[in-house]
Amino acid sequence: MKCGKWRRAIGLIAAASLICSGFAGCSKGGAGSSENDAQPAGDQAAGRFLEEELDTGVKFKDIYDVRRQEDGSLRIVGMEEDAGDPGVWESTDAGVTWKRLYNLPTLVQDGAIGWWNDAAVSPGGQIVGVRIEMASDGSSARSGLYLVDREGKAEKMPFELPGEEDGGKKASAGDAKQQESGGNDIMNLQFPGNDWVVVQDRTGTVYQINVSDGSVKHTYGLNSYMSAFPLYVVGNTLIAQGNEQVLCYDLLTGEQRSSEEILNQVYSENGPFSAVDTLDGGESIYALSGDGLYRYKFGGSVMEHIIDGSVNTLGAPAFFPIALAMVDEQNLLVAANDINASSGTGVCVMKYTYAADTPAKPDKELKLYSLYDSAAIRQCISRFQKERSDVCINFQPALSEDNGVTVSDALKTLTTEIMVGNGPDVLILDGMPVEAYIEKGVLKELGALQIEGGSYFDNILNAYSGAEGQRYALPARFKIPMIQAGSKYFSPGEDFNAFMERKDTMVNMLPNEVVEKFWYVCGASWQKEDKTLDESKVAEFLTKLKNAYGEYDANVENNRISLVTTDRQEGTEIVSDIDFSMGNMNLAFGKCNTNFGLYKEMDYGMHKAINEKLEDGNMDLMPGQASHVFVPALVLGVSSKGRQPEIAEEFVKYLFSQEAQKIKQFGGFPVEKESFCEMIDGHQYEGKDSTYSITVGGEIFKYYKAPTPQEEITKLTELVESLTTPSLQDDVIKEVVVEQGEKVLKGEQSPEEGAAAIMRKVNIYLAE
Amino acid sequence: MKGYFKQQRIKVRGRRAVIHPGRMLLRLFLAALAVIVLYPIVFLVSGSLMGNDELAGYLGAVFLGKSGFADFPLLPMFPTLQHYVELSLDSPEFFVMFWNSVKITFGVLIGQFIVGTMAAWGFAKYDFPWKKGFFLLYMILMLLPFQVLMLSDYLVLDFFNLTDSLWGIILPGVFSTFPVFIMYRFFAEIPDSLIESAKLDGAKDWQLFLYLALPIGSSGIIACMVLGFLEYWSLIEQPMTFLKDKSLYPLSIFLPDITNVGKSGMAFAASVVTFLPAVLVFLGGQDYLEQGIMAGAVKE
Amino acid sequence: MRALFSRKRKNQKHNKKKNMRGFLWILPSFLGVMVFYLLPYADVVRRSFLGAVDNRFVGIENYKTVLGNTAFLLAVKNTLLFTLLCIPVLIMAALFCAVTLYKSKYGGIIKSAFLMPMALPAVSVALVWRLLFHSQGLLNHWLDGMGIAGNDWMNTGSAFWVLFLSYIWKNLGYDIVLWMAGLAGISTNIYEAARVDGAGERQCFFYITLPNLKSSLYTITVLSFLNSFKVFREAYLVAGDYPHESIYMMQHLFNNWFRAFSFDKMAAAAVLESVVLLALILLLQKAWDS
Repeated sequence: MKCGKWRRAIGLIAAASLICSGFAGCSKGGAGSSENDAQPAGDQAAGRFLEEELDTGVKFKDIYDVRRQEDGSLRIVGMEEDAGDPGVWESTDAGVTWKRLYNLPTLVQDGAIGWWNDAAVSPGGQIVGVRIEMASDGSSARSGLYLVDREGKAEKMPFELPGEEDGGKKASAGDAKQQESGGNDIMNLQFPGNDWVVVQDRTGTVYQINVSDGSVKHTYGLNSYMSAFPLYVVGNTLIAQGNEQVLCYDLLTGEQRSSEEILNQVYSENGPFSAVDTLDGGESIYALSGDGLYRYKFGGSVMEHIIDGSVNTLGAPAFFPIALAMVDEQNLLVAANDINASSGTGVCVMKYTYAADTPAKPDKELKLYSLYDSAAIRQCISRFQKERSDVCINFQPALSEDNGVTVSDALKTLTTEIMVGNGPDVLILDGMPVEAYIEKGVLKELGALQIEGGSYFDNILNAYSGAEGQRYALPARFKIPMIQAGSKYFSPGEDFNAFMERKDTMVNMLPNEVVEKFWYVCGASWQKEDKTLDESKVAEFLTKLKNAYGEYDANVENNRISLVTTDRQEGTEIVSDIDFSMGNMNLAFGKCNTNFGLYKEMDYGMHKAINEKLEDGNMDLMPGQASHVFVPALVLGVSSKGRQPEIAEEFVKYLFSQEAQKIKQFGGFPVEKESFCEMIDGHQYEGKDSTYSITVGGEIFKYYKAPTPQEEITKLTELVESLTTPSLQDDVIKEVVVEQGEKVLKGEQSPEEGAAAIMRKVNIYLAE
Repeated sequence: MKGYFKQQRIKVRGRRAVIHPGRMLLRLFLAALAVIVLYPIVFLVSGSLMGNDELAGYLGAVFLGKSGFADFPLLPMFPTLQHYVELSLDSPEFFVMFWNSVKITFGVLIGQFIVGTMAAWGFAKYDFPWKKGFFLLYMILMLLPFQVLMLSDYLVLDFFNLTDSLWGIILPGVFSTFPVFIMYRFFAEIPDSLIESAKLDGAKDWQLFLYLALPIGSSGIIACMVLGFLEYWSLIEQPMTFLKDKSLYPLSIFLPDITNVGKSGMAFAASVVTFLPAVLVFLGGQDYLEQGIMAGAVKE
Repeated sequence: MRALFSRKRKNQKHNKKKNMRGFLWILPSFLGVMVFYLLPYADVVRRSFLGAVDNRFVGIENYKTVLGNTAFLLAVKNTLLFTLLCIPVLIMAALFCAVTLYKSKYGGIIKSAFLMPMALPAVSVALVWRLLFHSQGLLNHWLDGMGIAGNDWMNTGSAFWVLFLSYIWKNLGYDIVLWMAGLAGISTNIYEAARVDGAGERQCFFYITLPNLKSSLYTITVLSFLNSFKVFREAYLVAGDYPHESIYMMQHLFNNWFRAFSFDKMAAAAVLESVVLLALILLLQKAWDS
């Protein structure tokens, strides 16, 4: 009893202290979040910034800087398509019309090669440009600073980046593509006032340079990881960011200023600021972040969220701002890289204008549901909202990497929401039990919905159409299971049995991936009339697959080339393990003898190079128990219990318009034919043939990126038209098959046992 | 009441001088069994103290599909507090979840303390029409699995605008019939003579409840609260169904993706941190548990 | 139980005039129960006669569908088997431990050790289980070390026994505590009197201990039954929606039905389940009353 008392006392004290520590930890987090909550309330009042994409009349290939001038006009320094040197444009009417002033001069001396690489314009209209200049033997490249006056006359500034060789080597180690430029580089350039220019090199060091004589007034020793993010100068403050923090320096004294907590907080929530400007000489700043525009007065306690990026392009995943120019408090321009810009050059200038009479939040909310995040859909949302400023699309993918929610939990939540009438209006059905939903009346019949604005692959569009033409679910994209191999391992048109007879077709492939890839082309043939699975086909599938796969090698992971897809532009679709493109390198370097997977983007140059390298290489549809299979993607359905049925249908229709179909973010091929051709024709490589080389273990593989020849386009188009069978869209069955199939291929159970286990589980599922 | 037990035990201890050898063996066997029973807990604690590399080495077979078997030593080779530090410094959401768990658990317990004790007292010492029927109803509701009422519950909560709010978890918990069942048996044991004499002294009904029932029933109530704590501290189904906003999730459904070996250490550490308050409350309340739950069922 | 109620009857004399006053004590709780349990339950009953999403009246069609549903029958079979096997084993094992440890010097410590698993959150249990019972997991490692071939524990019939052990492991300590409390309530005077009459240890156990523990048994059975539902959490977290068919329980089915919008079947099955529960409780009460 005595010891019981002790134990009790200790227990209670410890529990109390634990809880107290919880309180302490929470109150801190709580305070922070309450401030955040206060912000949206601020812009609830009235008025909102409306967005429009400016037609500048100039086809910009690149924009270096945009700045408001002292006289109130605006200047852009940028590169026009097909132009050799950057030009400078001026607008005196807040961005509506633009007039070219002059081009930066072509400075070529002594036969050396050089080009303008970056430029910044000051409020006074002067320009500082960075030129990369190579010695005539092409051995070394160095960057020089040039000052260009208001008339376009350039003069080299007497400034050299110190320690070029060292810095260059350090930064480029392990970075294959950057090797052509060995020296140090100017990574960031700012020309805030008329007196000095601020540059940052690869090591992260920042130089504050006197414009008149090129002398360095101050240097700031920042770390190299900070050079990866833009730095800004507003008034007399230098703002540098990186490593989850924002540092401020005083340009007059060269000293670091006390850090601004709020900036750090917004940074850690939304990532680094992508552009900054000021209207009052640097006392307060306007800063673009991942979720829109913020205003902040230095020393203040609140960062005001002025534009909510989720209702316009600012929050789109492929929108990367280059420069922000505040015209006045109610007008601003943002120049950005955006592969989906209507200009077609990947660069756009957006204008935001404050409209006092527009409600602060769009009054109609459309709920869009998807299990998985998709950059393509985010892009579509932001486009759609631009046209319908009264609609706000609420899109929160149910699964994300960090919430640990399973598909099953997510679908359960979805069920409850639909049942109380609080559910989504539009559903992206990828990974969901489409048939059950149709059967239970969750989805609305869309037969009356006119899909227009192009010609479509009807075989794919009607993948889920009923016998009488009822349409409940419409795939907006699709993927094709394809295979590529030399003739020793595969010949075009051969069937499943023939392919599975061959040996060594799947060396160095992971069992689960093999099963999943073949599931798509086989599973479609398994269902009998009564929806149950045909056990003999499942057994055949596993037996043959095991036979072809051979012995499992536990080291298979190490024999493969693991692809790090860094050259993919950020904000595009996440590459999946079962994508065709994941196998390219393994095939090219002979690690694998075949490559198969879901084909969802044309990479003609790559395939051609691989085919040439293989003996008699070929590409064709993957052989399987079912033939002519495609995998529907971005399958759209409208909820029968949604609150906004009209807008829901309008949005679905929009997703089939050419504008939305042409958005390329690797979510699959578009079902609209013209968009499909545009996506595969490689027009972006027109006139700029470029060779890429990849080195693995001393071996070099070279390929070209070039436009796709017409015959190849026709071939693929015809192939798509021949597709007849949609893959079985049932993730429950897929998961069971992959789980059991993996064990079969690993030799942990026999194909018969595997088939029996699949049947047992699937039968329970189907009996429910 | 407590004194009564104490006296008895002391008496009994004095008597037991001779120990039966067979019984001794049995006790040894049970002690060994206890060690086995504790193994999973030791496992979690030791896992939480291992570095990521060490964990990946031991558990690679299960999580990374490597060949061979998983291995796990009793103690970490290179103990580190890294995961606890990560958890407390780098995962602000963990604190939010901890706090949510505290809110849910204490919200429910306070409510049960008020509503449940009153109902139990009413069932135990008063008579009213259909009492047996009501009690039967309470018992059936206590035994119904959550899944049965899931959808309708959600509809009701939605009607009161309680979905996606901690109240949607707390209120149904407050009115759970389980504590009534437990405390009923305890209150029923309070001798009627005691109540009668209090009444003769002029005590009112509410005074009987406050000054007689609550103090005498205190260990029963505490026992009930301890069980309630365990139940609501590790609640899974309700928050998963009723909460959508991740910032409202309680600790019990926090599980970093453990198949990601880089995070399995976090999962271990989170497990231990979740386990600690529960075990402390449990140890602290163990004696009450013993006296509180059964006293009602024991005949004098 | 009867003892309690019969005493109540005596009370009736005193409290007859205060009929409604008694109900007032229940009222707050009852209102909440109404809103959060009875109302939803009524809704479930109503739904059991309606179609899933269209809400059209279908009579007892849903009940027929459910009773002919093989998944339902499998779930019922598993749940019954599990309950009928686990609860008696748990109760006996706990009684055995309690009698052995009762009044022993280190009994308290051992008892606390047995209690620990109950405080472990289900999520953590699932984590350990996955590592232990994986086909390449720790258990197979140890067995391999002893030269015994392992098993894929969660994907064969052994899954049932894993779940069984998991239930015993989690609840043993709790039931031991309950039994010990029951033992403590038996007056020592009875034992002493018996010993004076020359009764041995065994006789004491069978003629004094067991009969006196009868009323504890009722509570323990009900609580063990209640806790048997909670193994679903571990089963679900370890094996997901479609575990091995030997551990496919009622809750799995309910969950899956819910996800697929099969509210018609769900409601009918729920009503059937509550009828069975009612019968069970009445049966238990009767057994203890006699």
